[in-house]
Amino acid sequence: MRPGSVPHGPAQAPAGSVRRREILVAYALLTPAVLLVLGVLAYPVAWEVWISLTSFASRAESRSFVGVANYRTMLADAFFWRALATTVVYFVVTTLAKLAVGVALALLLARPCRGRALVFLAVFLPWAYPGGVTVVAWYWMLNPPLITSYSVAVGHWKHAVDGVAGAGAYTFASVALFNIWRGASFTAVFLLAGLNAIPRELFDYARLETRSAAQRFRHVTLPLLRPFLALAVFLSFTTAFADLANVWMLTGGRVIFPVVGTYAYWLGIRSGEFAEAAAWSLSLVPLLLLALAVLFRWFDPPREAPA
Amino acid sequence: MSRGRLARWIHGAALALVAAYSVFPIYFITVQSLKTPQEDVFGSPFYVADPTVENYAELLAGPGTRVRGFVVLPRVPFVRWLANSAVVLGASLVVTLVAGVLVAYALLTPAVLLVLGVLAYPVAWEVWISLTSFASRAESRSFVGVANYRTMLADAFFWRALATTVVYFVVTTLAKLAVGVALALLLARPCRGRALVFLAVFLPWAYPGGVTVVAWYWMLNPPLITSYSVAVGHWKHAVDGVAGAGAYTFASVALFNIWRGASFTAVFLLAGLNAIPRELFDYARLETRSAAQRFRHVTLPLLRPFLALAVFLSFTTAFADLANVWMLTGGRVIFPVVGTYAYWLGIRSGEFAEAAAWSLSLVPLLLLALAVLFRWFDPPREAPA
Repeated sequence: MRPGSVPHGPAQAPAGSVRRREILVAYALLTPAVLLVLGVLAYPVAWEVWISLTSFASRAESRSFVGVANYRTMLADAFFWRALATTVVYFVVTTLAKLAVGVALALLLARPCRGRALVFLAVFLPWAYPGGVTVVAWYWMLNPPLITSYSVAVGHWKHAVDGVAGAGAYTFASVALFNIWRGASFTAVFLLAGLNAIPRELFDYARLETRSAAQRFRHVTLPLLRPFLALAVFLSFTTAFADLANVWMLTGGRVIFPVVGTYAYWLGIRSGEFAEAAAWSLSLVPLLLLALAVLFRWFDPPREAPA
Repeated sequence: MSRGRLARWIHGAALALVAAYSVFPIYFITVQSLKTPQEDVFGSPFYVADPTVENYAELLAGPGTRVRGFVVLPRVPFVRWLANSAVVLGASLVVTLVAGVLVAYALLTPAVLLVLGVLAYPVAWEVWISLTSFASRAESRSFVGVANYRTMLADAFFWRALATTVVYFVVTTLAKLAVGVALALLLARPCRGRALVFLAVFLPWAYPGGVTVVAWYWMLNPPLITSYSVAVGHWKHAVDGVAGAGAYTFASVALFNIWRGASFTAVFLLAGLNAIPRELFDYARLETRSAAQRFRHVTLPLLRPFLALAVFLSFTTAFADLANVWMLTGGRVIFPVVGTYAYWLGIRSGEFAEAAAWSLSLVPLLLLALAVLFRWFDPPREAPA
């Protein structure tokens, strides 16, 4: 620069272009993560949506676009509605039971006493033990496959339950029981962690401000546990709706107990009806989104004005 | 029985029930595994009267069939299945770990590419160029090894430039630190009009250097005949006559650098001073006898990390100082700082290879300074007294 000339100050790029460049760099840095998410999550779902609109099946000669024909078939099928109803009832029953048992166990374990560590270990076992092993125990307890001294008693029970509530009721009850036994274990440990995260002082104040333990539970413990309960419900929801393992193992792979997820597996993998199976599994998506919306609202409610 | 004891008993009983409920299926399956076929059918499901390990022994027996009670059971190669499970477990663990590491690196890729492209590539290119005969007048570019470095080190001009650079760094840094600390201490004490003085102190740094350099150039080397040209000319000849040709230029560049840099150093150290909890100075007031003692034993050690950073910034400014030197000397090589001369060689003369060697000659000094300053900035922690 010549000393006589009037120099310019440091170049000032317009703020907008700097911001745009920063955004571009941010996207460039995000690329691998986005590719991973797209490849591992979005691509399979998109593929499934596409497949559900075709006639893709192992017995089909060709794969052609058929529009919503698979959905139409599915919705016209009484079996689908039975499966959906079973799934929803399965979800509601197991979730309520898991929450009730889980809260009870967590409250029992929250109180310090001798041997609590051992009981905690016992409570954690149903969740920590391999499901494929404990399912054998439940299968033997509820549906003894050999003649045993208790086969007759269990058989009477089975016929009584099925006779009163309809065929499949006993299977439903046994799958639900197993699910509750396993899930309540996890829920209890999870809620116990939640209880321990709540400052002790709040319970001490509650002791002064309330008249009974029931009042204390209703007005202090339950509201404070709300985010943990919402998460527990959501986990229970995905377990019940996508429950393949429990149902499959306890029913020996037979379709005695049509949960939507298990039946979609049956259709797709056992029968080769890929397109129909895709439609079946995607039928759960609206319910899943609804549950997410409701639970998010419960989990993170709009903040009230401070009293 | 008191109410508290009753509650404890109920709690204990409930816990026992809970433990039984949780463990029963596992107990049940374990009991069945210890039964003989006879007991399986006729015994109680809740306990085992005549335990046997034959079911477990059966797992380890070879292939074949087995009659158990009324049922013919094909034997399964249990040991191999167990081994398979272990292999699957190990393999999936390895795959998970490897995939996780790979994914982590994949996620880093753009950042790494950015760093490599923007930082590593130019430096590597410069290192490579410094080993060739690359120049605008050269017919071809060939590998010449360390010839450029050899030429450079044999050149007396290089050593003069290096010495000038080091002296320039030492003089400006010491002056900047001294002036900066003084200004910061003056500004640290609340008083009326402090904000105005702060603004004034900040101006040399905040004002565009290209504008203030014109002021300094006109003050120190009036390019036209002015009323003070003669006085400044006498000064210049006096300084150059006593300290050698170029001394006046050196002094004027150093002055400009100090004037600009001390401003930044002062603001920087003032922020450092304000970050130190006031109580430390209050304690120091009780524990020391004089302001000088307080400064030496309290203020200076607490400011150490800030001083180290100031020295490092001053270092890079002095060593890579192109703008100040170039502007004040009008682009003539009166005052050979290594960085400016490398620019002259590379851009003005087209001696790209030699210029690369010149600029890379600063790297060892830069690394040394970094090592020393890091040690000063973050010294090894002493054991607590």
